Amino acid sequence: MANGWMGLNTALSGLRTAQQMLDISAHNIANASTPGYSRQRAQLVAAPPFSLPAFNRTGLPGQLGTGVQITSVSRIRDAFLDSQINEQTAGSGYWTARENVLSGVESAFPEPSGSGLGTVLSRFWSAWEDLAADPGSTAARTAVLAEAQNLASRFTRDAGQLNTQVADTDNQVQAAVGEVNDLATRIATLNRQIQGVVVSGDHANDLEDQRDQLLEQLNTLVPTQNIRQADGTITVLVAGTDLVDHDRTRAITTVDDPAGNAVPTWSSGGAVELAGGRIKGLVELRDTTLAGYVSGLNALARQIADAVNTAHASGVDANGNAGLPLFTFAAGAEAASLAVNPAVGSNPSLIVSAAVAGAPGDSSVAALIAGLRTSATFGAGSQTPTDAYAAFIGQIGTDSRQATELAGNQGLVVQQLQARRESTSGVSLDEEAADVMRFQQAYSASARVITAIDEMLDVLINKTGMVGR
Amino acid sequence: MRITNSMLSTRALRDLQVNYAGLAKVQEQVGTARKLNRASDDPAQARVAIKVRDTLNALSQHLRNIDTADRATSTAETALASADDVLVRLKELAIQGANDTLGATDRAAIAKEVAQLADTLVGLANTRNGEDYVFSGQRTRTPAYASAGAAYAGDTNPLNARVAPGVTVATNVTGDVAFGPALAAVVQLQADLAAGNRPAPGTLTALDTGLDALLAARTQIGAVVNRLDSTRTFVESSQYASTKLLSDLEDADMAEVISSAAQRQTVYEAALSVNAKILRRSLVDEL
Repeated sequence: MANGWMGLNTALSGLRTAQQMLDISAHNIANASTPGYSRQRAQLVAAPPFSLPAFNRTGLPGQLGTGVQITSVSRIRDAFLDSQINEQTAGSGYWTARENVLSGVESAFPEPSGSGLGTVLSRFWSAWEDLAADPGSTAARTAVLAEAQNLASRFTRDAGQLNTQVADTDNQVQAAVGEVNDLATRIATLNRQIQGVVVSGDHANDLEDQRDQLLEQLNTLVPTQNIRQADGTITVLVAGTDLVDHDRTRAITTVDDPAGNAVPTWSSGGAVELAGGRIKGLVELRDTTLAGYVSGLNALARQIADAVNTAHASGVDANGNAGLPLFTFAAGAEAASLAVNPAVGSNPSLIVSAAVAGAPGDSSVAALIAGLRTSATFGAGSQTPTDAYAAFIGQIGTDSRQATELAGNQGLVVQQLQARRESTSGVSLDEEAADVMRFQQAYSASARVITAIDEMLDVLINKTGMVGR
Repeated sequence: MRITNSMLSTRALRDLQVNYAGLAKVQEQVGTARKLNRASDDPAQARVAIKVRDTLNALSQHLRNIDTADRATSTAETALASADDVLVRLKELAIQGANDTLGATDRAAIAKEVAQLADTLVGLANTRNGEDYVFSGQRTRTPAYASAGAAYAGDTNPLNARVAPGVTVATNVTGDVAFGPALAAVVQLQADLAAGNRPAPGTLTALDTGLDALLAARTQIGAVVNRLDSTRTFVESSQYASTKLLSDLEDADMAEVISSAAQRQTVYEAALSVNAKILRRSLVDEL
């Protein structure tokens, strides 16, 4: 036989639950714009029913419910989407790094325009043409010398810009490695905290959100493989080696290679083999892409200097002496070290126009050098100097365009995946507003039940057995 | 699909960003009046543009070379025309000197004028264009003839001008060809007259030969001038074509760019106003 107090407890459970649900909605609304937050939901179940103590239970139909209870509060999250986002984020990090550095390289070479190396080169050949047209003119010789100095300093400046980009990229590699270690430490700390919560049988919703966000940040730098352990911790593998295991981390350091470039290396030894992410993008830029540009510029500087020097040394200067090489450079850093031969210095009479002495009107050497403009012996051996330079600029443009396009595409993929995750995990204010109203009404209804029981008991206590009083 | 508030605002922001980036691109094209502002805008076109710009520089250099060559040839032409006049006068004097009625004194007087004309002829052979002797071959700092009787001091090499891609033109005639026979004839005539003799028949023939040589030199220079003129026309039309090509490659079509700017602005403003209305509201406002 049920007693009169039981309904009071049932209504109380409804009252409490409505209050707790309202608290959860309040938490969701408060975090509606918190990055990485997943909405939380309570799992409600009916409390175990009350079976009446009787031998055959014929007096009552079935079991009597005892109210509602919350079994757990969990976050709504799709782990598969997370792993997809992490994978695509690594690609996005790779291409974004390339996009940023290459657009910097591009702005160092203002082409096509009248102010780049192409125009300086053009003016250099034209100065020789002027000398060829008027070999007796001191003004023309002075102009050749000035343009030669211009050309050399332009090569030096452009090579300097490239070298600055290489050094910047190297610094970025080191900074990114530091970021990886920092993220790993924070993930390890969260691992320990989450383990504590999970062991006591709860869900560490908010801590897991934070950890997932750190993992996403980590994946823009290096692609990781995340293994969820039974105790709630996540083991983070980078190229098969554990970066984070429970609350332990394995640091990544940088070791300089012979060229002075930082190579990401495990603190326990061995290079970090990366498959994507910003660090790989930066390392590749520094060691392959930018290094390729530097050697391309060096090759162009060397070929032009060699061709001009050979022709220049084959003739005689205005004083009738054998010509000197016009340019000097250091092997291996031709563009950066290109300079007008100090022995020629600023003496225009040492500029060569004639092939033989005693013929001031002979301009065959000047014409020969001016003719290099259209000589297809540069670049890969079949290009004019301008063709070779245009190919060099074209390569930078193509690389930069590819990086911009792919960074954009990859960003779009990540954004779409994030939108899908937001669709699953994000807080909808409409939904929460409706819920708040629902819980508020549930609370009122439960309170009304208590009032009803109270009134029933009042009848029993105060108004029963009063006959004849 | 479940749509949440932050999905709406994220997407609105991204779409506005894309629109704005497009607007910035168009604005750059309007501002610079160029569609090719960096190599990555169109790497293939940029490569061509760099080459065309070099071609243009080379062509304007060729025009400068033609101007320089023009100055040299017109100096030479003027000198040769004057030399022609001098030689005609010499021939008159030779015929006058052959007159039997003249005495030794008269012939000596004629010889004096011949000597003066010989100096003029030497002066003409040593004509300079700026600092350069135009009839000395490549020995441009050496006078072609020290005197009428002296040997030719220049060389026989051409002064070449690069007037078009792959085209060189010799802009000079050398003194030994143009003036050599005339000077030899004058020396002979002066010697005949100074000795009080009639000019020998060989002297008259030599004067004719000298005149022929001068005429041949004038014809040669005239041909060079014609060639320079036609080359100039050719180079100028190439220059026009290259300028047009470069403009096609690099310059923005302003009408198109401006209309696309207006279009993008409309889209941007529409997106702004719709987003402003939608993002502000939720169920919270209604309950």
